[in-house]
Amino acid sequence: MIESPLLNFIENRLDVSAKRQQLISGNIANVDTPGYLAQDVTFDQQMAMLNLSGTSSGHLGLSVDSAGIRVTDSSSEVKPNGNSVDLDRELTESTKNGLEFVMLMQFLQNKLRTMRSSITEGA
Amino acid sequence: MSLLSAIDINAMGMKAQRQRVDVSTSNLANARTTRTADGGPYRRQDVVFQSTSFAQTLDSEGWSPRGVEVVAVVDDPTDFIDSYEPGHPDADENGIVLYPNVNAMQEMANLAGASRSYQANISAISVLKTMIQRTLDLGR
Repeated sequence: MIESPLLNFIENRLDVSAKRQQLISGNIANVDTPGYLAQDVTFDQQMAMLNLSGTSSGHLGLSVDSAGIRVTDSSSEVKPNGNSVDLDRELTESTKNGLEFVMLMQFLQNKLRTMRSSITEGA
Repeated sequence: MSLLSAIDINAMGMKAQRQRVDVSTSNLANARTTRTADGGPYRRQDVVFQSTSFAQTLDSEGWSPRGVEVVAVVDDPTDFIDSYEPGHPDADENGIVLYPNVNAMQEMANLAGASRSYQANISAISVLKTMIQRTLDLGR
């Protein structure tokens, strides 16, 4: 149970989420920098990192390799000064990503609580 | 910890925007200054933003969040505004006084933009704060 692949999955997802938040922070900080292109990780790229070899060939595995995720300069509308940061989008993504992180944390906390009660109540 | 360094990135953003406000308010304050240490009227200034690599967070290939810095404060090369005021002590022989090339509307728009960008950085920091807080609560 402690070596659960689910825990590894959550850990990896938290890692990706934290790093993604860094990119979003960088985008927001550079909202007025001429020539700066917004960076993000797309959902497709995240999915591509999922290990597809589960217990059955039809299953999605539960591992995400965060090191394999690439950052792309999103090709959204570029302003006259060459900057492509969409502030509304970045702020929305920041909130969404933050909520995702909190959700994963809640999940992890519940998981750990279950494990703790197994350890303490079992005797 | 990557979340803490993300806060630093937003702090860089806030610092850059504050420098922009400093320069802009200086322009407004000197909108009618006809004498400076260099002689002649005050010349409008502007900040130059540049994204900088954020060395500590470059952990693996591809992850390169960018910070931001004010790399230079440059003079605005546009012409001074001339005004016919023969009674002014700084008027030339034709009665023309050169006033700074500061446009109040432009500065107000600049200030409003800087303020919005500053707020956006604060919003991002408050999300990061929640994320870090939840991480700390994990052990409870």
